[in-house]
Amino acid sequence: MRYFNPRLYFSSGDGNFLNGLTNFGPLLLIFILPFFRGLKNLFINKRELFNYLAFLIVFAIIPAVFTYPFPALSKSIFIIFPIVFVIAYGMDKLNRKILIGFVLLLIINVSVVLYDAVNKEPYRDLEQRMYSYRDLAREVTLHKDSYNKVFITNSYGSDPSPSLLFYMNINPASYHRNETKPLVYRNYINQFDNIIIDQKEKWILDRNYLYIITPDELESNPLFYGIDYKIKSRIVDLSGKEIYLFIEYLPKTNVK
Amino acid sequence: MLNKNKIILGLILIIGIFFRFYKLAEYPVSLSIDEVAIGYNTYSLLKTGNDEYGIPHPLAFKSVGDYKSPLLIYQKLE
Repeated sequence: MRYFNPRLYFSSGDGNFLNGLTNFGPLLLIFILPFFRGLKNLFINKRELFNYLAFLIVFAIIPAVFTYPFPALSKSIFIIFPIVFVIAYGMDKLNRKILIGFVLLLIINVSVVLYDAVNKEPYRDLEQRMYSYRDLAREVTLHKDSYNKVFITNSYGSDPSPSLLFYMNINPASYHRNETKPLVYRNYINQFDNIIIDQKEKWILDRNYLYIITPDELESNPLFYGIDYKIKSRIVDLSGKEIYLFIEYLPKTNVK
Repeated sequence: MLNKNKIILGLILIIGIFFRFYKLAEYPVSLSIDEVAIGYNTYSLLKTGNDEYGIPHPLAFKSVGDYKSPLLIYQKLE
């Protein structure tokens, strides 16, 4: 019965980085009003609709049962259908005054979302980061075979690896062999092929290594203090701001 | 009453279609992390018959550790 946990209704998605709001979960919160109205009506007046509702709930449970051990809430996606069914039934039964008030609140709710989408957040932060990762993958593909190791910082974004695997067409068979550690929820892939992501304790200076870092790190990371280097490539984000520098160490000019 | 409901339904569909297709080529600006992870699992299945972690035709995909539902991944094999 843990599957019917009411928290599902209030679950939220990824945080919105710009304004601190979270997503609105599977359904807008405002629909809770007709949901309870529909539930009350189903119990009191329309018991015959229970069969239909029961079918929808059983239908929703099947995929969730098959994937029960897994933590992702997407296994519960089909429970949305009976919830929407109850909401629609409740909406139909709301009296006119409440319905007008409900529609007004709904318009306000949707307006807030639209305002965020159009004015405050023309590009979602996550989308912008993923756009940058695509460019990063293209440039890493160009350079990775020229170096023994490629170190990539996670200071710009925590996990570029899924994008790198996807856009660089990394051979899955070789990747399977490399991945041996036990999995935890939302693991971060930190190495494949000759590419090492974060793990800064492993970073040492070598002219056969390529370092992909943020402009801030070039100033702040002690590893790069006073060294001679060559910038092989740069990645900019959608606004044109530099986010990654491809640094090659030049030891010869550093020798006195 | 029926015609009124049809008009409302039609309006909802038109608004929905507008927001779905408005600047479709520009937004979203990139694939999301879930989409690339789903794409890589599909690629892995096509190449090896296994998911990203070498498990043959799983029911739920571990992916980046968030256990994705299988439908999108298998559907993309078509």
